[in-house]
Amino acid sequence: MRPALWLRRSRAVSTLRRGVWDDNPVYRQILGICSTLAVTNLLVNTVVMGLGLIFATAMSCWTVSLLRNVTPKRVRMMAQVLIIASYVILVDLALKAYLPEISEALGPYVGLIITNCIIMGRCEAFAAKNPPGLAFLDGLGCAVGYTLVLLAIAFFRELLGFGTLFGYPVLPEGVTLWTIMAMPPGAFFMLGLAIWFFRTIQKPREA
Amino acid sequence: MEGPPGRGAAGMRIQDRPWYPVVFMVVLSAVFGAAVSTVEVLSLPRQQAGEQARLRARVLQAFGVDAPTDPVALAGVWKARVVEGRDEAGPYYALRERGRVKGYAFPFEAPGFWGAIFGVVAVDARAETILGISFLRHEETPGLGGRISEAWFRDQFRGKSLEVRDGRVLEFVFRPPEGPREVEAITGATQTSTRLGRFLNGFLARIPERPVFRRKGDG
Repeated sequence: MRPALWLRRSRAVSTLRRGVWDDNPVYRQILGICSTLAVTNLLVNTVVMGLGLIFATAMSCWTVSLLRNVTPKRVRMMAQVLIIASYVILVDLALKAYLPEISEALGPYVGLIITNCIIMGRCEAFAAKNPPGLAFLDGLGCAVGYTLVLLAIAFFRELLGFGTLFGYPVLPEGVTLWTIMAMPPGAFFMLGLAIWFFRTIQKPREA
Repeated sequence: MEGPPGRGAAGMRIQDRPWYPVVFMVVLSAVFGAAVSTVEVLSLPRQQAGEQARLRARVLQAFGVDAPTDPVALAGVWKARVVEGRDEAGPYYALRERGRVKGYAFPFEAPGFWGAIFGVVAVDARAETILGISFLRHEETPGLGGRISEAWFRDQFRGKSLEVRDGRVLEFVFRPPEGPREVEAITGATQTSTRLGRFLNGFLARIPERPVFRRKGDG
C-alpha cells in the first residue's frame, strides 16, 4: 500500500515538475508565445494573465479528463474548445466584475486565452488520456511554468522600460529608461534571452 | 464484423451510434452555455455598477476634480456637483461650483488604431478653454497607444484654448511641444496619435456650437 501511494504521489510531483521546469511550455515547447510577448510589459498585467491561465488550464484539463471516456474521438477538439472557452469567459466575467481596471488594461488578451496553445496542447496530449487528478496537476504545472517565465520577462521589461516594479518606482531619478523594453521588440529580445538562459541552466539533458 | 462478446450489431455501444457525437455536443453546449450565461446574468449588476462608477470617475477626472475611489464617496461627490443633461447633439455633464456651472464635459467616441477610443473632454462654461480630457475605454496597444490614458498625456490638454486656427484647435507633434497649441504625441503610436488628433480637432472645434452654450448666450 505504502509504495503504491508513494509512487502515485511521485507521479503527481513529476507531472507538476515537468510542466514547471523540465518541459516548460514557454522555453522548451515554445507555446503561448503571442501572449508572452503581449502582456509582459507590466508585472501587474502578467500576474493577472498568469492567474487567469492557471485557472483556465487546470480546470479545462480536469474537465476534459473527466469526460475523456464519453467524448467521441471525432468531435473531441470541438468539445475541448467549448470547455476551454467556457472557463476563459468565466475568468473574463470575473475580471470585469471585480477588477475592471485590470480587465481594461488586458483588453482582448483575456479572451485570447482561449487560443493559447498551451491549454489545448495539454488537453490533447495529456488530459484526454489520463485521470482527472493528474490532468489537473499537469494543467496546473504547465500554466505555473508559463506564468513564472512571463514574470521573469516582465520583471526586466518593467524595470528597464518604466523604472518601476508593480507600478512602484525603484530606479533613481535620472536613469535613462529603455523605451524599447516597453515596446514589442523588447519582448522579442527578452523572450530570446529567457529561452537561451533557461535552456543553458537546464543542461545537461538528453535530446 | 466481429465485435467483443455481447456487442453485436444490435447491442452496439451507445458511443458507437452515428448520432452519438451530435447528441454529445448538443448536451455539452447546453450545459456549458447555461453555466456561463448564469454567471453572466448574476454578475451583470456588478459589472454595470462598475461601468457607471468608472464613467463618473472619468468625467470628474476630465474636470480636474479628484474622484474618490470609494464607490459611496464617489456617488456623493457626483450627486453634489454634477448635473447630467442632454442637448440635440448628445449627452453632457455640467460641473457645479458654488452654485454656478464651472464647465461642461462631453463624451466622445474616437477612432483608434485597433478600435474605438471612448473618452470625455471637459471645457469651461464659456467654451473658451479645455479643462481636461480622460479616456474611458480603448483597445490600443498597452505601453504604446495605451499611454493615452497616462497622466502626462492627458495633462497636456489642460488649459489649452478652444480657438480654431488654420482649421485646427491643437497641433499633435512628435517632439517636445513648444507653442501653446502643441500637444506631444506618443512616439511608437503614430496611428493612435494621428487618428485621435484628427478626431479631437474636429470634435473640439464643434463644441462651442453645442446648443448647451447657445442657450446660455440667449438667456
